[in-house]
Amino acid sequence: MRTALHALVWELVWKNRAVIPALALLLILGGALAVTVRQAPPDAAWGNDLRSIGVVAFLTSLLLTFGSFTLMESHSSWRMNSMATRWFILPVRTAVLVWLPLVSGWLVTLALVLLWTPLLRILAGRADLPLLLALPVFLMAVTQTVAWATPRQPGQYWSIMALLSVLIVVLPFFSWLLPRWQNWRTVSIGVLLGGTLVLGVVSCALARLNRCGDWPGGLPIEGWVALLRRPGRRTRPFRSAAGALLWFDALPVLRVFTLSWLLLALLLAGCGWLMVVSRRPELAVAAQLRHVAFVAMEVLPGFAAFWLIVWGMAAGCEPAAGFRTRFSSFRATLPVTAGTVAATRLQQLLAAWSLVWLPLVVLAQGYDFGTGLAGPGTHRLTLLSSLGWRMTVSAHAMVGALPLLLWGRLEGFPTLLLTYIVAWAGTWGLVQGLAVEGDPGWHWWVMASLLAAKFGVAAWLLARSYRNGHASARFVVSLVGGWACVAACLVWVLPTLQTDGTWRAAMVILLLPLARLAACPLAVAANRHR
Amino acid sequence: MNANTTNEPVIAVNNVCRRYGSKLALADVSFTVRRGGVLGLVGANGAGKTTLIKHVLGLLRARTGTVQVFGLDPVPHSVEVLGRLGYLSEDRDLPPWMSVTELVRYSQAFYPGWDATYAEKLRQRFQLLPDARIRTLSNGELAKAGLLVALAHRPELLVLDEPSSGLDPIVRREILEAVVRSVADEGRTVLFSSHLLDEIARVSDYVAMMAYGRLVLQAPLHEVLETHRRVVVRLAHATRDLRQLPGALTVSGGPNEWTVICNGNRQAFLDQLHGLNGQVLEENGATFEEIFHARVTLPATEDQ
Repeated sequence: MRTALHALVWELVWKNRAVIPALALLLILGGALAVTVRQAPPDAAWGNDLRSIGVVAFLTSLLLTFGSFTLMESHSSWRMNSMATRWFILPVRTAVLVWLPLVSGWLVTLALVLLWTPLLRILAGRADLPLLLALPVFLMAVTQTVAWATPRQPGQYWSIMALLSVLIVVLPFFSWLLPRWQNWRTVSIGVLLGGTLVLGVVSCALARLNRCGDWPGGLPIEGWVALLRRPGRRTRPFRSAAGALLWFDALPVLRVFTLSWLLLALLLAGCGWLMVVSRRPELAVAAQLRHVAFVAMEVLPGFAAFWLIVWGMAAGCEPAAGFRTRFSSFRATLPVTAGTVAATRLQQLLAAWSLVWLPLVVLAQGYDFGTGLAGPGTHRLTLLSSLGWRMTVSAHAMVGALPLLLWGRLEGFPTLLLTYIVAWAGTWGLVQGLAVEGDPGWHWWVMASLLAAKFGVAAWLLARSYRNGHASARFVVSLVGGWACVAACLVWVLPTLQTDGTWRAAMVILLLPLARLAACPLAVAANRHR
Repeated sequence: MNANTTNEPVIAVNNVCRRYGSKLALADVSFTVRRGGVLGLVGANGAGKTTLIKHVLGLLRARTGTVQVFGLDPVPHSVEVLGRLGYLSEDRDLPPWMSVTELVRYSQAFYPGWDATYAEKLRQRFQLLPDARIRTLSNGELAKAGLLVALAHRPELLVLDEPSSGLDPIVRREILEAVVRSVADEGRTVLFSSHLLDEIARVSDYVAMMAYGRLVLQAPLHEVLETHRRVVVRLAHATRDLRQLPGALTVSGGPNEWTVICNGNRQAFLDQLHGLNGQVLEENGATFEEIFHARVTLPATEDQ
């Protein structure tokens, strides 16, 4: 390397050795889709599907570049990205450390947008080039600022990035703002570019503070998190190890979950209120509130499913240890069975799932869109049945790849995310594959085989856990009994069987996780005894 | 090892091998620890000490050979085994968000034999503030907190993996060694790994030396010190044949004056030395450090 600059550029390229081919692959995919779409008949449904896939591929390639062009790198003990000291002690100017990754990222984004623009004209009909450039450039600067604000706190970095992703996902829901967008377009692009420059300067200042130790390497929110995580005052000794695990490991996580879900629900309710007020200003407050409740019923389940997946991921990790799934030596040598540890995680998940869904079930019980908040009717049954289905799918996705995470060999945010994407793709494939309209016919054989496989595998796993001493009889009975109760509620109490028929009821039973839950004690044991 | 010694070994490891990728971490290791006393496990970094300890704790499953602790396999009987031992890990990975009091209360729930009075005494002795968060503790304080948790249920077997790392010499001597000795004096067993040779020599009754994944020596400390000698010899002619002398472990110096660390039959050594026209200039007991160096560098000694 002739200069430090060359070395840094080489390192950025090396760091992104997986990202750059991925970007190229997505571009090739986009090109192939564009060629296919051009030859498709104008009103073909599959043509629209291909267009959507093409746009998603473009957005994915943009998202891939955000985190890649920072100096965050994998930390040996956490196996997740943080900024190593070696960056700080390199004999180069701080501005180089900040601007080099940022400018590289911008150049890659510019190249991406330029290469994708002709494809987007075919796939999306039009491409707003200035906006397509301004938004990613701004978001990249945000990423850079977050990276320099939290170089020593990878947990904070990834949490903020996750929130940013949520924000990006939430924004399209505000389509009611779109009619007014054109009035503000030029101003917004100006604000985004101005904001980018400001963030670049802020990043430089933060980088300087970090290098001389005047910045603690993370946002000063440790105290708040500690306050949330505090297990509470309790002076009596615990009667059992399970009690201590529940009190110290599960309850603090549940507290954070409840608060974050409440905040998200309030935020969504506030947005719903704004939407109703802006669209139907003539309505009385009571009627507006009913509309907000309707919006909540429609919107919250989608967010609930997403939020539960995040917390499912948290349940697969060690308490308060970021994205570490491997047991610490301290916890691995506590004299408890793997089943007890697994039971704590499962209780945590069940509690989170109930906290999210039960209020919605209660709200749906008293709600009928046709007649306001009054009594029973077909709307209520349909709504409850739909809720039951969403609860099932969210339980399936929430448990996701839990045994894989408890197994302890997958660490770090990217691996966890990949695990969950695979689990989610499995859910989607299963739901799509078994979505049968009309008489299921021979599909019943497939369903029966899948159900037999599910129960067979669950029974084998539970028997093995019990035989090896990883799970007690109490664990087995509680798991099977609890699962049966929840399944019965989703099929009979929420009227899935009554309104959607036996096929949907069978799908509920199939999707409601059992075999993966039964695998948890064995996974914990494998994590502990390597 | 002492008056409380029974025939049943507390730890029995037989022919255990472990490989991490291409690196052999444990090569056919067998050893037993009998009840009572302190066993010092000593070896250079990467010698396999922690891997061996993890097998004893059941954190690593024996893929070949067997491991028994209190007569039980620690993997299927983890609750029974772990309930009877105390462990201080090299990583000191205690839950960072707990306070010292919470850590004590949390740990108490897992051990029926927890002695709350003893735990409080230890906390005061270690000068740990009850409300201090684990994440705010220094390395030394972390070690003390880990030691408190490991000791307070009065385990039959105390396993300490590199307990001294991060501790200053005063804390090491006044607290760690004193605690370890008092545990051993109560008839309980301590397995103590370290690469600090003077510490091992001060605290241990038995020593086990590890090098390159192999157990190269296990014996009572006094026996190790008595059977190893440091001999300074003078030869009429320069030679490299001293390594062939019976019991010679390492040879250094030259060209005419050599220092040999050896053990075994003294007379056979002297007879062969005279055969080489050699003369003993000085002979005394080898230090523990010299013995360790001789043992762990044995296969590749070219010290000239």
